[in-house]
Amino acid sequence: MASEPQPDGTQAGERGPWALALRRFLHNRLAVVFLGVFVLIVLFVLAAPLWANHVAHTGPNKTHTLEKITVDGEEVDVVNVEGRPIGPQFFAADGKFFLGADSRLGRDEMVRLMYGGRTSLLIGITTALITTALAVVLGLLAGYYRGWVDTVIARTLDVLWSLPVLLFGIALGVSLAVGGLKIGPIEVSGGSIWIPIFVICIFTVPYIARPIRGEVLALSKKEFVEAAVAQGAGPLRIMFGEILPNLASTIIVFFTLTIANNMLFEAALSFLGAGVQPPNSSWGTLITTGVELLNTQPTLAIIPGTMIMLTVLALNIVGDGLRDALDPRSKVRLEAHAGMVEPKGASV
Amino acid sequence: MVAVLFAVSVIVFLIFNVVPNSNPAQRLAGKNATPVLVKSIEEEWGFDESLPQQYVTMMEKIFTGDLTSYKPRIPVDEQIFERIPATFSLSIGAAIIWLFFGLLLGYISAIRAGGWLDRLLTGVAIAGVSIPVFLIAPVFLYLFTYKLEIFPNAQYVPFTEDPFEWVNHLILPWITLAILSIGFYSRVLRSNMLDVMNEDYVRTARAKGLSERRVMTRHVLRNSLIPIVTLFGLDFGATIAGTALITEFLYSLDGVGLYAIEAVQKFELPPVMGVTIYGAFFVVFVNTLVDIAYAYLDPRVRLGETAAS
Repeated sequence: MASEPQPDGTQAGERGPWALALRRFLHNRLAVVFLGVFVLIVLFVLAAPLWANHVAHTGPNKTHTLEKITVDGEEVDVVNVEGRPIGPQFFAADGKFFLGADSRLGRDEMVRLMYGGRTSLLIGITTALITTALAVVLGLLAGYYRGWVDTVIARTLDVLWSLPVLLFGIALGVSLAVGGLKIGPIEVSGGSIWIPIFVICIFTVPYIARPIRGEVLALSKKEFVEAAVAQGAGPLRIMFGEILPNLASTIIVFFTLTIANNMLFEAALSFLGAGVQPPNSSWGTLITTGVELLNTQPTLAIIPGTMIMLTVLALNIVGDGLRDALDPRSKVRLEAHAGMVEPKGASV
Repeated sequence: MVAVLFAVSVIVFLIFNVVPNSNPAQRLAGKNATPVLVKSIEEEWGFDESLPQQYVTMMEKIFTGDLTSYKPRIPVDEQIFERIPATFSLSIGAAIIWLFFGLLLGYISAIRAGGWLDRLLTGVAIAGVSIPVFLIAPVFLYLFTYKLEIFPNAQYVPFTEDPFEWVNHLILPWITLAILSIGFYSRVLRSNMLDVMNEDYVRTARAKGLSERRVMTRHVLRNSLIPIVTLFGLDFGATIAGTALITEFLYSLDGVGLYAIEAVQKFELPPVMGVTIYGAFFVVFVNTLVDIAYAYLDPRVRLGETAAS
């Protein structure tokens, strides 16, 4: 950060746009707080092996149906005679079954929550990365080249966009879960988490690509693009060197909100059995088992749901804050939602 | 439009017939099937024909109303018609709630922009958008149905059977479905209104001496509502088309969405195809209504290119 001496002897600081944006973001206390919440959640799920090995001494899939544990000196069934699993113990049993046991399989809910969270977050972030990257490339190509390239890309996106996302996601997810995916030499088995990642990406790309295409269309009419062409810049250079940097703020905001949106989508798919398959678990699959025991042990359904809500809330608030910080006058609106509502894209 | 419908139906068809690495006849025959059984199923349903031929046969069946599910052999269109009341009741009720409250909250947020009420409502809105259906529904069910026993454990009760029970069983699902959209709509209205309130013509209206109320209703609201109409069209169309399936599932409402979920999980292509066509039809229908409403609301559309910039 350079500074210049002023006529009256004071120094004027010079700050680049990113530094200014950072400052605006940090002033937004709500966004900063929730960024902290998100970081805490990430740390929480990263700590899964630590907790599993040193506190709970069990794994996410290990069943303890016929075992007993010591609670405050007394021996208690993990799963009682009627098949009802034990409730949250917190620290009463030295951290074992901190949040209770799930279902009659008697697995440690806290451990499952942490490991499931890893899967959920992993899928959310990976899909967001892939989706954003793909959407940017498609948007750039369509918006810059226009013509038949644009028509082909825009039409394909339109068809995908008009599908009832949840229904098709379930159909595709279930189909792939059975037999796996085989494209040429690439073979992915039905239980791999790449299947839900693939399904989510396919249906989310149009949501991002359309607004980006709109912005690229607008940007490519601006003078600096004309100037670049006059200077002899080729299309790749213009797309990635001139237009892309102007999309940076939009991309950052979209990326954050897409993580949230995709996590909701993944949870919905997994909840219905079309997403993450056993033995993997995610917050969505935890809710499935939890809902079955809703009347006897409501915590099993409510806790994973709350974790999802917290994460999505945090990401939404941070994304909002980022948008306000990076471009206070931006008209771009994209809300994370469970795939039921079309997000409002950039107005061109 | 027809092209999109066609593309969509092809995609559904491919998802069920091409994507899974298994033989549909095999799946239908079950675990201990003999080759003879598999062969007879193949012939019965035409699985031994070429894929394009199968597609054409299926499309024919749809248009002649002959489409049946694999097992049991129930006509798909009957099933869909039976379930439409439930889905419609859910969608329309929830839509009224979310539209009313969403717009109300958005309006209040906009006219008190920057104040504590605005910030509170924005917070509520963001929370509403972030809560997944499968958190709200279990919480509601547990609290209101199990513990407090205010509402029954849902199941759909037709209006014609008992209007009171119809409402009673639908209140929780309505609120669940509405919460998600209230947040979204209030934010959209708020941002639209704020944009419009900065426009010159609003300043002119105020300068002319119009009462604030007049300015708001005649100028600001009218213009802010236009994008909302499109949004609502898309949303409502999608909801009727059955995207509220998780809500239907959690509240045991026998609707079109639930029918679709069950069909997908059993690998039944015909019902899914039926639901898709039904859904696509309604989305197109509602969007057409939206276009007409647009022409009414936005004079620029009516006047076409002869209007200035």
